[in-house]
Amino acid sequence: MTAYYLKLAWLSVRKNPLLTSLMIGAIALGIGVSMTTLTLYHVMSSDPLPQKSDRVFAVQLDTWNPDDPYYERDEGSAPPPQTTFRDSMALMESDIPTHQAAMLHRGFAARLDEDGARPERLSTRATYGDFFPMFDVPFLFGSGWDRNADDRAERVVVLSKRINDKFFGGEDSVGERLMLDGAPFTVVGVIDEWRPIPHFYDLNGGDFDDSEELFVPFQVPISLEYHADGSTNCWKPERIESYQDFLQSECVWLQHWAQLDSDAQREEFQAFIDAYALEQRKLGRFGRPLDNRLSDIMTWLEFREVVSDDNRLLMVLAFMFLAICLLNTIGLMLAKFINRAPLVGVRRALGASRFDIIRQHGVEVLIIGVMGGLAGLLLSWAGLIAVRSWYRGYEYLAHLDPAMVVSAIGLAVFSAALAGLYPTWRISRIQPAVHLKAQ
Amino acid sequence: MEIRPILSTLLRNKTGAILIALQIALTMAVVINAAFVIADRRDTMAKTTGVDDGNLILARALQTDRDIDVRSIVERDTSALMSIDGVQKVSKISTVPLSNSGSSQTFSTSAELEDGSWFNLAYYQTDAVATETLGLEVTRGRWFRDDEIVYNPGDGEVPRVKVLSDAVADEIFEGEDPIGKFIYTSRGDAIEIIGTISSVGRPWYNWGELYSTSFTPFVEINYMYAIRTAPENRDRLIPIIEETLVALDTDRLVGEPRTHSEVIARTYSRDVAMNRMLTIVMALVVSITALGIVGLASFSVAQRHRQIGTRRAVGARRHHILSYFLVENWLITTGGIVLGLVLSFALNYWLVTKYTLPKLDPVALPLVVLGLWAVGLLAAAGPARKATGIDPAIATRTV
Repeated sequence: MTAYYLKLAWLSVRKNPLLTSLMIGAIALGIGVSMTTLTLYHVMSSDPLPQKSDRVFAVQLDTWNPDDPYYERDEGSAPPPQTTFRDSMALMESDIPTHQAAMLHRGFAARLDEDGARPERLSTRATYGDFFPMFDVPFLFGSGWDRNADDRAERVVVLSKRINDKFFGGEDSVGERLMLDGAPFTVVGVIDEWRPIPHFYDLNGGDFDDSEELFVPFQVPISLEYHADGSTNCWKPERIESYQDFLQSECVWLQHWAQLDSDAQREEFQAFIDAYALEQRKLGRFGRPLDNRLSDIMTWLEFREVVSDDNRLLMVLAFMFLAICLLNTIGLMLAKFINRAPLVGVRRALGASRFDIIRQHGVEVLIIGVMGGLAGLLLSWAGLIAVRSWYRGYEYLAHLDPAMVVSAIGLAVFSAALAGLYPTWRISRIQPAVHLKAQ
Repeated sequence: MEIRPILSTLLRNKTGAILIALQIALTMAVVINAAFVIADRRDTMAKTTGVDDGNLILARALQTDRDIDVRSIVERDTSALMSIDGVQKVSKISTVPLSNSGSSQTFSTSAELEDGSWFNLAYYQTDAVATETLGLEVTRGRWFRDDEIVYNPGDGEVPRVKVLSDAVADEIFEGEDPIGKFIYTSRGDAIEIIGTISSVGRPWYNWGELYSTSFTPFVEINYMYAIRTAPENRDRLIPIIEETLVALDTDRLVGEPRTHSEVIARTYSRDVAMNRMLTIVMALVVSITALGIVGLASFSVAQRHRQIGTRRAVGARRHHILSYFLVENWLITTGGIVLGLVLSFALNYWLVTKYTLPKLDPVALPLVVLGLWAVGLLAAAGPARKATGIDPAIATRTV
């Protein structure tokens, strides 16, 4: 029987191509617009380190101005998102976390030794060797570095795959030399494609930044007396004349992350930093009420408002748009079905039950839904191409993944079924006698 | 025109009308709120930077070596850039408006720091010709002299003079003449105000007061070159400028020069993209609703074929039929608009409380209402005209 209904539905679709394509178009547009914004939202709110995001924590210390909090939010004040050099160094002394790393971002001029080519400015992360195991960074060749290299500010470098391809033709370059800002560095590792989305560990450059090209030990730029390329915020009127003054100042400019595998470990580390803060209070620092935070990755991303209000607003409007498209489809379907009332009257008179009529029209509704869904998928694909070209830094993030494809079609069929509910019910309730008489 | 019979017909056959009215109401809520966000972003983007950003090229040449004579390198670079045909003026500057990176410092109006009022000034550090390069107008006092510019590293001193933007000078000194007055750093150093200029915007996208900006006579080796060109030469000069800077010293890191307009466009790229998306959603929403009206109006005409024929047969003229459908549609649209008003404000209220969106400004409302009426009438016009073509004879055929 279903085959027969499929045939009937197909005939009906063909019989009134304009009305049918209007319906399919309305569903497709609704799906296209809402899936485009939903995909954006889905990717923006995605977990960059799903296997352990609840065990990796951003460290926030409230060293800010006692008279004026860093963040003034609805839910109250909050500590600054970055740390001072002296506090990060003090925390690095703790061996409570499984892994721990302070870090900063900075550009280095890189070139191969004496090849005469112009140097190229490469985005570089200066951090501790723990960075790599903490964030599960995949290595192609070699590895990161150990605490000795950290302590001695050894001139070693880990390359991204792209840079290894460019400078060393993709060969295993471990042990090779690379000149950074005029000084020789030894390559110790090459990482595979690695691009956490969002760029959670440092949101200064943009929430969806590419990961860095080079990684060097944290103490390297410090020993060169470099400042970070990210953002440096200071609140205290204090005399800063030398680099040492800067390192001892209340300026926050570093990101600090720790891996804490159990609740006990976490509580222990929280107690450690709180005790440290109270110790520092005796020196006249940490003047604010005790509010030092360990936020796991998803809490951190929410705190930093990585999904912007713009995206939420677009979602709301997109789903209102889908609602309009559905109302439209209801109207058109109703028109189409009612137009066929005399025919349905004949079928009913010849013995078709209400349920048969519902089944017949239900099949037609589903066909329209599936077609609208497929067309909508095409539209969202086009929509995402447009979004990628409009937003800087969205190149990698606005893509349809299989989950989104399935949900697009699901949403379309569900929407069509919803839209078809009333018209189908209406057509199944018609009185055969009225329509037979008119003929 | 009699409205009563139209109304009673509508009430007897509600479904189609309700569907259209709901669509109109939702469309109105979407359009009003989207238009409002668009206008808000436009206002933000229209704020002037105060500099001649359309004619500026920004170039960086970074030096990692520290044992250098900054002044002579800057002079060498500047004269090489000035010798390019089409370059009008060259300045070294720490940052530019809307580049989204910059620095600010807190000052007090009194040497007894606690007594004065505190304020935050963003600062641009630059040279003696920057007024010409950036296209600034000195409104009071004077700009920096050549001998006041501090080169770092090298000169080892700190500038003791500043030029303020007009707007912030008036605010700090409450309208009094600021020339010769002093402001004080948090360490107590006195800085003399030697001039004011036409207001220049802040370096950041949305942090700090818009015109709370100042200029300091200070040049560092890794500051950018701001290069003023005639508009017709601008894009042609970009590769030439890059080659010139590279040729002077191949060890330097020369970033690809950019126009200031491009830097500003990058800063606003999210807003531009958001506005594009909202515009597209608005256009689609209106067209979908219009198509829906066309569809349902055609249906209702088709359904009432015989009634229309009967009316024509008993004496109704074509224009009666036309106006019947138009008025019917107008009634439905108006019903939708009334519901839409409520919905628009409810949505806006929700957006204001939940997100950082300003309150709806009702100025645009009449425009949207007129627009929706027009869309409704235009969409119904086609089917209504078709209805006027129905042959009165049809009434006699199938009774």
